[in-house]
Amino acid sequence: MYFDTSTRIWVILLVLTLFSWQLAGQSLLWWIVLFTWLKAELIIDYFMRLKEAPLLWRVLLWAWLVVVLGGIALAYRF
Amino acid sequence: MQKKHLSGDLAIWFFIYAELVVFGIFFLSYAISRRFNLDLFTSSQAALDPSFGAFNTVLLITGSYFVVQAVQSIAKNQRQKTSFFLLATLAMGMGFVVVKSIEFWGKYQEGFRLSSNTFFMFYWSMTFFHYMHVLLGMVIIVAIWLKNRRGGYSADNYTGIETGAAYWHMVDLVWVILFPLLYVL
Repeated sequence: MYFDTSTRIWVILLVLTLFSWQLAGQSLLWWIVLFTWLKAELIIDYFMRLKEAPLLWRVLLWAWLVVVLGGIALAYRF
Repeated sequence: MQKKHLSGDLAIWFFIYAELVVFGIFFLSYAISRRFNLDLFTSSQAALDPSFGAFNTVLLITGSYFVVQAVQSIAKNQRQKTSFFLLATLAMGMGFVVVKSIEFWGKYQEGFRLSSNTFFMFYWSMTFFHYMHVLLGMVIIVAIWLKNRRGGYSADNYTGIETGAAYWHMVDLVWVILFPLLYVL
């Protein structure tokens, strides 16, 4: 059976959501940040189709993601 | 090699990036405030049910998937299929609004208000701000659906659908960070 890219991305996003949900209240900061980063990256590249966009637009969203998730991780960790 | 291009209208991308900056400031302000009020945030967060957040994540991600399918369908000139996927996206949005409204009502009944404490100030302002974006996204999807029904889009002209889709994905992207921030971490 063949599934297109968007269907595979959708399934991965659902699985990552399930993992994140199961980690609620377990103080596993880095795992949760990793799953969130992966989900955001998949949405940016494949759903928003920034993989097909000029690099600048993609870099701007990467920068936003790094600042937001990095800032959250730093505030939670230190 | 295919030329790189942005999906949808250029103006929506400026709007999306501006919105993301606003949400980013919200997220970082929440994280920093939590750093200085750890006990308050931890105890208040315990009043939230992560199942609501997880279920809403599933609804928004699935809505995003359907809107991707709508774009792919119109690119093949399959107008009826496009309408079906736009309605499916709308159904996911409605599901989100219903679940979130139930959660809002529950929290309100339990006495948690915007002024209850710093955690709930962030909870109400961030989730309600996002909720309004979902509602706006639904209005955009309805407008696109109506235009598609009238034959306004084709395989040669579907920038409008791509533009609405980009906005919907932004709403999804914001929630993907909001969910762990408020319910999981």
